[in-house]
Amino acid sequence: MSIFLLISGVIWLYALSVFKRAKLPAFYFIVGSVGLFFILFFFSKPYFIWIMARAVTIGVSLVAHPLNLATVYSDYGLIAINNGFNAITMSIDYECSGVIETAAFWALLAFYPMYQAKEKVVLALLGFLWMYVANVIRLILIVLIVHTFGVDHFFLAHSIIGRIVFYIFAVFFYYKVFTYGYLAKNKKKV
Amino acid sequence: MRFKKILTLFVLAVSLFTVTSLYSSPVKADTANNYNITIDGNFEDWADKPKTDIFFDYNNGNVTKQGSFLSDDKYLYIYIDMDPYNKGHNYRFQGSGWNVQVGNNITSLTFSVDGGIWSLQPGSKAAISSVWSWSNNDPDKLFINQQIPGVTGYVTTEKSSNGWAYRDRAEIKIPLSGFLKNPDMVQSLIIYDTDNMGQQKVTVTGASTGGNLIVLSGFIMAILLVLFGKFLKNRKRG
Repeated sequence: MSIFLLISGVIWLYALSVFKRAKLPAFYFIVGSVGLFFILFFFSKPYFIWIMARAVTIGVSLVAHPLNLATVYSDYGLIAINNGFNAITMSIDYECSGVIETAAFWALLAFYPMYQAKEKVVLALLGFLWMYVANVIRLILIVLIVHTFGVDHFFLAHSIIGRIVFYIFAVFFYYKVFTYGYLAKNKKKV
Repeated sequence: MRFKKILTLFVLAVSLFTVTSLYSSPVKADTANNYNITIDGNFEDWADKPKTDIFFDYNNGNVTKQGSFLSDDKYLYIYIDMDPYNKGHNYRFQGSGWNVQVGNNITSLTFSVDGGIWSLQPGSKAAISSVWSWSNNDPDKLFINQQIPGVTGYVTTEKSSNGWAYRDRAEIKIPLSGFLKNPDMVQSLIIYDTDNMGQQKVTVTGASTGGNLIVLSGFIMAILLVLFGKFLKNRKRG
């Protein structure tokens, strides 16, 4: 672990304690969740990303292999799509594994004041599963489009359709947990 | 009380991470080579990698080559088998005509074999002595024209089943920074040699979720709600 990360962690903890004592819950939440996001992100680098990349590729292979859409090399996080002539090899790294979105959700949830500890644990697990399934659906969609229409359609499949679908899934879940959860619990106040 | 719990969790997480970091991990992710590829002239490490048949239609399947192209954030890894189906066509390793395309920009890679490919005898291997990158089509100024430093590669040859033809195989590891000005900015590489090898193009790419926008949306949503809640609370008090 880098000394920079350790020092940042200590400064983050000190800032949290200051906001807590000063009774500034909004700042406590903002600094807490942003800091935890970066800590989770850096800590996840070798291990959690490795696990997620494999898990995602295994999830894709459950659909892609029986339908002969692509060959999945889950040991290396690789998905090879061949539509008969040209080929494409997608590599699932930290940007594609859903780790960033999951870490952000966990960080926000950890400091979100609306839920009790037990609720947070359940929501954290649910969020992890939700992001995982959304990412697998996104990748299957990309595989399906590229396999059917060819490698030339990769940009459309990946950068537009895949991202929109994943964005809808992720933001819908954020909305359900944070916005809807808040509104439901504070109906009278609002 | 809650702060103490967070502090305990943080200390626990740091301790756990420090302890696990002390041991060498079998996990190869996020290292310079997470594909377990060793550039040594032995090709077993390519057995479980995706490969693409490369051919010209007019050869009717008689002169099919095979290639595998992988990339991590530092290197481009290339594997070429000139006769994977043991047809004995004697089509030898092609060092020129390799193109790497990024968007509308194309650079040509040229591989030189130590001593020349025709002096390579069955059962032996030769090093790739140099790789040049040269682009005449670079509107976005992405490429570097130079002899790429830090390249490693080998070509080996053996006799085909007909007893006289050669079957060449090669593996090459090329630093992305040797031919790309900003490798971190490049998401996809399209690799082909339509002059000498075949009509196929192989795309090597990531599949980013576009997570920045999602994370930003989540943070904005949650932060606005917390601030809104605080505003309501203050209004009630006032």
